Amino acid sequence: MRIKVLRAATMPEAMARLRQELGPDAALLSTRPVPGGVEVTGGLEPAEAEEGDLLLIAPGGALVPRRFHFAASPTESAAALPRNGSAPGHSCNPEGRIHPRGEDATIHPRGEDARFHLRGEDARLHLRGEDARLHLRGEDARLHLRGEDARLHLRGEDARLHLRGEDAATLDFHRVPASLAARLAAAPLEASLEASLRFVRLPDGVARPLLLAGPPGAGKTLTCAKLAARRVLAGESPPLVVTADAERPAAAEQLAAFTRVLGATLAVAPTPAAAAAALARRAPGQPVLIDTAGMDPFMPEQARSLAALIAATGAAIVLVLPASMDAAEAADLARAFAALGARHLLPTRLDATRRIGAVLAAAAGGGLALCEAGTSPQVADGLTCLEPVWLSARLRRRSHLAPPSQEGNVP
Amino acid sequence: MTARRGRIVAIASGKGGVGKTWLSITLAQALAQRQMAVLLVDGDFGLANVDVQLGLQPGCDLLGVLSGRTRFDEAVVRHEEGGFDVLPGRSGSGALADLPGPAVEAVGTLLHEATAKWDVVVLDLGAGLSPATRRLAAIADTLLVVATDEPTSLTDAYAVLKLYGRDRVDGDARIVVNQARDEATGRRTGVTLQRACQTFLMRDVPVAGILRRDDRVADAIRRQAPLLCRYPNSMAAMDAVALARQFAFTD
Repeated sequence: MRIKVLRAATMPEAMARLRQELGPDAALLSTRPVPGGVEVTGGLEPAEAEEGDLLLIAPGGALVPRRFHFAASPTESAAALPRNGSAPGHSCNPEGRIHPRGEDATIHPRGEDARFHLRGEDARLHLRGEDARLHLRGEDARLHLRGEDARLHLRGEDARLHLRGEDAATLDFHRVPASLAARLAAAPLEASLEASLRFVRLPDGVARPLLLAGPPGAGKTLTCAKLAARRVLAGESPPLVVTADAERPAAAEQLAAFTRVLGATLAVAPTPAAAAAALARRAPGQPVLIDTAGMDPFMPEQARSLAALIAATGAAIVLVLPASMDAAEAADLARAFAALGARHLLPTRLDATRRIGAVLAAAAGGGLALCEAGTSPQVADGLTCLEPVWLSARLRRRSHLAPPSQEGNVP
Repeated sequence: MTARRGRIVAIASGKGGVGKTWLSITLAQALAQRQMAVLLVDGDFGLANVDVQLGLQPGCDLLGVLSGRTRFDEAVVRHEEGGFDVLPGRSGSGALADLPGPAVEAVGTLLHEATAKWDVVVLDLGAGLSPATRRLAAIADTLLVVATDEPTSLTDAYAVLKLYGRDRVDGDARIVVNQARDEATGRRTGVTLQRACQTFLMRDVPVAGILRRDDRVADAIRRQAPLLCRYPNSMAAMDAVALARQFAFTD
């Protein structure tokens, strides 16, 4: 409420002045006679901010003045990312097929150098049955499926692929899906990770805002705070942090606690239009991080909401997924978010999860590039750059606990 | 579940410096004089000063209770002269100033449990409209909003009433005018705020009391003594007693 106390010689004059000061909607709240006239108190209730309006929270808590300008015409710094997936083609027997079938169909290549090669344009290995199994055992066991359309199909209620050997056992421990494990076990782990998955640097959010999306509870808000903190601690100017999480009331509060400390501005943008308005207020060259509400990409309405936010902001989507997920579920989610435009994967909770097959499954399933990982609950140093060497070491360690020589955030 | 006996009366203002803590103390004592068991809780998280105004040196406080280091009954201090009990806060505590939502809910639970033992729990809220202050205001049975005749105080008190109306649609909010030049001026201030609520919020908020400006209030605060002990016959003391008389607190 705005309030105005004024004096005039007459009541009509006082009312006229009141309306002049507060507008035609001013209400008369009180009057009293004073020497030489009358004193009136008027009030006006300004229109409420519409639900969905943008609110900018400066580090000091005050609203940010309109002093920002549009950034220079954004350029696409993130180059189109190559898609991975199909194995390189090889010359092969065009008709190579083996179909072990039956209740207990198995193939057991055994020995020090056990190998099973299916080669051909359309090479396929189908194991079907209630208890289908493929066991490759030996120090250097490998399964090679090569060809333009190579596939490994394990079907049945309890189908399993067992690859034995150090790396194969590691992948089995992490519950890496069979076909991906077969691909990764085909070479030393560092090399196969590099060949099968993509590792890139996370864009800085300047050319395009970085939008963190993912299922509820994935750690998007904390990741957002970590990314902002890393920039500030590196001596760079704070990013503009936007929360588009209108579902969880505490989300803005949680982020505000971080942005206050970091000296960053937090924009609370419950609608795509408000998010776009927030971007219009950023300083030239200022990176933007957008935190979003946890969402289910399989729900059409939620998928549409995210698509609308992406359209309004032109943001690059980073999928934030907890490493503790079921691998198949993670792969499905990654595919769904990739369909919405996600190109990067940022797994979280690697410091609290032993088996991280979901990370590999999501990256491979969605064709997403691995960039960073949440490896600590600390905001200040809670992210680690994901690289094949680091990831293979982490996989082989089979533990979320860092070895004594690798304490901290060392790739 | 403990059976409720008493009620929670919260004192809020929006603007600081309008005499909220003084009113909380004086109301607590006035109610105690009516043979009620009264607990005064310092709910001004981070800037608590009930103990300062009363000259208490508490060994335990609300923060200790919330952190589990102190039992609730250990933290309660008896003000013998005033005849009421006090649960002190802690001034300058970052932990209390930034009290997270679940901790605020814990304070609410404590207050509800206190009503099993005390007839009235008087809760001195902090100035402003922090989420913690709003949550605690919303759990009170009655919210007294203190205003003076300054326009800034009126607009801040109005803001408190507006948000309280959202948090508690059926809440019992009342206006108390403090530091009024005289009864008529104070009444006019109260009616101004009341009319603003009627006009803009479609809500009728009664004026519960007018407390006249009295130099002896400042003197009592300086001497760290309750007004009703030091100047029981002063104008402000009589006004506070009249305000307390309005509260029958019978269900």
